Amino acid sequence: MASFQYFGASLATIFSSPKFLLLIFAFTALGILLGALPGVSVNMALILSLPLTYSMNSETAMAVLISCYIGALSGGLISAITLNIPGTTSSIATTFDGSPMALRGEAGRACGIGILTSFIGGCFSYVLLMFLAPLMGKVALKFGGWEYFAIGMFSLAMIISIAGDDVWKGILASTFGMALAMTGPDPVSGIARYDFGISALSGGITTTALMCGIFAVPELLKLAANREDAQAEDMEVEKFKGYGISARELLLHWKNILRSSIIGTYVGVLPGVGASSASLISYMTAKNSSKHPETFGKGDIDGIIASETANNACMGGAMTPMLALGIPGSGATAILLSALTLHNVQCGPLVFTKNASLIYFIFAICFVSNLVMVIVERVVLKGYIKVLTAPRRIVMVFVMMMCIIGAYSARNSYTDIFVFIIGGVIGYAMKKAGVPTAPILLGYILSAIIEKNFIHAMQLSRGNYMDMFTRPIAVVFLILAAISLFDSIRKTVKASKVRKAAELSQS
Amino acid sequence: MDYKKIKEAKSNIGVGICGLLFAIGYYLETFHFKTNSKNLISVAAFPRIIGVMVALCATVMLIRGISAMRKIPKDARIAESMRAKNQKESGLLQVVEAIIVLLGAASVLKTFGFILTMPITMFLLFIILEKKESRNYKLYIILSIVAPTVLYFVFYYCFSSLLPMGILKPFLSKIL
Amino acid sequence: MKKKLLALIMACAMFAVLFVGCAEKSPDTSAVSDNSNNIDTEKSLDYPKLAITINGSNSGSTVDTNVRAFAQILAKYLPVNVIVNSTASQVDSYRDTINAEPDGYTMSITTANVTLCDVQNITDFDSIEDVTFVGNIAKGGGYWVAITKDFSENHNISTFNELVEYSKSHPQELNIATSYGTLNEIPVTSLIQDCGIDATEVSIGAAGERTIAFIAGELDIFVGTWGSISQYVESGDVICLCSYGDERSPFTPDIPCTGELGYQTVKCATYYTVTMPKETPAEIVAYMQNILEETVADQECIDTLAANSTEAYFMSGEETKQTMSALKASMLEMGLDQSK
Repeated sequence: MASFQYFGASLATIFSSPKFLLLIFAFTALGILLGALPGVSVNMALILSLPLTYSMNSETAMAVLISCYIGALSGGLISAITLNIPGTTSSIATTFDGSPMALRGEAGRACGIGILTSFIGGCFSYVLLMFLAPLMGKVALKFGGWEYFAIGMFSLAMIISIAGDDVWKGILASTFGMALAMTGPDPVSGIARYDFGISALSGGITTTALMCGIFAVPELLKLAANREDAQAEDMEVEKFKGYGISARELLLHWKNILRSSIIGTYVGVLPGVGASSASLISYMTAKNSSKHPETFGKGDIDGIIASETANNACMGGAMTPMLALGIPGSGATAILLSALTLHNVQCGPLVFTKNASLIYFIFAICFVSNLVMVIVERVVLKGYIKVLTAPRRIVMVFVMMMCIIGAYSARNSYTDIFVFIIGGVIGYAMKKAGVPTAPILLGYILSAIIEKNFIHAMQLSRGNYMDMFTRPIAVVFLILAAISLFDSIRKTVKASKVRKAAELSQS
Repeated sequence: MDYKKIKEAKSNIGVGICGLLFAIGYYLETFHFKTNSKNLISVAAFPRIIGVMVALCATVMLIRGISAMRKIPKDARIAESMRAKNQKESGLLQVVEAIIVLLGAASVLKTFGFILTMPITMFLLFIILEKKESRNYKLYIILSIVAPTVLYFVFYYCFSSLLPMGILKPFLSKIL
Repeated sequence: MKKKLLALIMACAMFAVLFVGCAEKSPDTSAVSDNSNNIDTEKSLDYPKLAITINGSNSGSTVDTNVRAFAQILAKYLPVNVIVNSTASQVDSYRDTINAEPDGYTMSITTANVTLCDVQNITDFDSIEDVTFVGNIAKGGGYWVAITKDFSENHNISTFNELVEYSKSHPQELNIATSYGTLNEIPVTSLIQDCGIDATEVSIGAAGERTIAFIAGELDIFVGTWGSISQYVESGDVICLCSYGDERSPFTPDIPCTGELGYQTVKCATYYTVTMPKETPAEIVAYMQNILEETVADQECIDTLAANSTEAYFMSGEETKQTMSALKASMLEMGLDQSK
């Protein structure tokens, strides 16, 4: 088959060329470094690398950007686990179980498992991408406004379950996040909302500033509040071998890995949904399918496996609409697409015939970068953990500095730094009051998907919302959302009854 | 055990009140939005729905908090208030100091620039986070000066990202 | 020991490559030293001494791509680095420039999208009077009107005139893609007002989302850039009925335009205007205008922009201001000031 020939030739080119190998190695490592730094998002990592590619040819430019992307996507797990601050939005779900594992001294093992499963998820999606990209592209066309709206509602219902026993606190946090997302331009007309005359807010609140604020600032304030008991905050790290998990043990989780890979790849195919939604949906599915769902959120490796497999599998999925349809599926693929356009490569249905050699070269880069990622990240992991588990007070001050840089650099706005700080203070206050903060960010991300697609769908159906119920895919997701919400409410009521019964028996 | 329940009830009441106030302000602000006659769905539609949802959740939290407080015997409530009054909330001062330092840094960053603001901010945060007897001032000074300076030049030369120069602009313009 | 050595070698190799990459972005003074005009002005002006910041658009957009490509070539003609900032939107980019120091080190490259937002009262500034226009560097590829192959076969439509007639006989039945607050709104409004297409406007924000909705069959009439549909036209899934404007587009010389089909439409080109803060000294503006003119004439610039269906096109600051003022007037005439 011609495709195997192109792929084989591309692999031979990469492995026989020291330049490509060195570039892939260097930019994967750079991506890992940037992804691991709180404050530097995947998109920012690509934007920072983009200027370097202008003088390169298309193959070299793709090698640089894709390596950086894969590295950054995976690097986010390191700070998510060791610092409880996700390096990228796609690693938010990793903090739920990664941080508890780190607190009990298993940071290295958690990171190792995350790296390995990231590799597996990535490989799965690249194989599908290589053989089924045009077909998968057609799947993306089946999803319209109502379908995206339904997926958004389903994801929102799932977030509420993360709140644990108290569904109302979960709903409050996610609706607060949705409220914050309303700041900025209306998705249809561009009219600014909630800007209060501050010009910077008329562009909205950036995800980086909010994410860093909600996760990083409370950690700093917690350290400040516990100053007298500071030693308790320093982290012990147990020694670990290899990736912290044996092949046999990993195989025991094959169902979770396979399911998460499929979820990640297919959610990635849908433009605009994103890796953060993919990892969240995968995490919640793993929790609901688990025999011991109560262990999730307390350091269960299945949580890390689900999140990290899905978010890396998302990359292959996101490249499908980019290559097969010429439509960027995410901010990062928009940057990749613009780089391809600048090098005279038009993506779309004919790209597999007109630019077959370059496309298969891109696939080969994906595989090789993925392989380099799993090796390099493991090699540097010890060093990272040593640095990140140094006296926490020192580390957190550096993290604050990086977050300030990240919040500012997103759009060179001083207002974003204030958003970062004030968001963090609110996050800290909410944590003290027992309200979970992860749903805030997830509600913020999903709000755009829900509102925008609802409005598009209503326009197309001339204001007839009943049209939603004539779309089978949308109906399925809405039913799943209703089941998920009902289940959360049921668990809250059950937990409340159990608590009352325990109190009665005590008294 | 009552103390925990009382604390939770108080938290619920606090969250409920704050949430309600936020929701009311959020809803009222929607009346100040500009309108576009071409929009099928009003610009204010979704914000209003969200405002109502926040108000609903906040009301539930408030009701739960109040009903939980009512179930707790009056004596226990009084005892807990006395206990809270006597027990100084440790660490609150450091938390406030850290917030002030961060806000101060954000305020002066444009005027003084990254290279001047960040070392002072970092140094102050190091001081706030560490007990007096365990502080290592020399280390803090070195880290505070070296790290932001190195990062400034790395971001400029390697990533073409210009961080705020502030009052050092005439000096930096000669060396950059 | 071995592992440490391997890690050290890999780290050194990584940094070597990084520094090579960084070194490529050092100011290329050789081009400048050949340009005596620059040196003369530079000596009297003492400008530029510092990196120049260009405020672009949101990362990954066509405008941002073009701005970054242009900036790279511009850097050849300047003795300093050129840094491109991505912003949330072109309006933010414009505003950042308005609020910047008028020292010649900050400028925006934006399109008439900002003017449209100004007309629609979305901005808190006047897009014409609150800035200094330095010049225009490019003209966007224009707009094309297309339908899918399935739509064409189902309704027996293969020309633009047939589409107009069908829409008139089925008023408001068809969906036409637009995007409120973007330049796309102008050709769509003109097609409705001036060409007589009777369809329902459906505003879908990003070009990619419009394309997906169109290919999926949710939108009946597509109005957008050639780059969005070229591959689909080539594969036969989409039929391009005409290009928008008085003349045929150089990118599609075989496709008729609305002008030759007998329709008088509003002139709408995506001009890429360069602006600086209002109080910027005239000498600095003049210097930068010269540099822009040289850059636009550079063959590499012409080829790079053409790859993104954009034509390198220079206008002076004064010409640009007049063009944008005329465009703003025609937007008001079309009744695009919908927001109150």
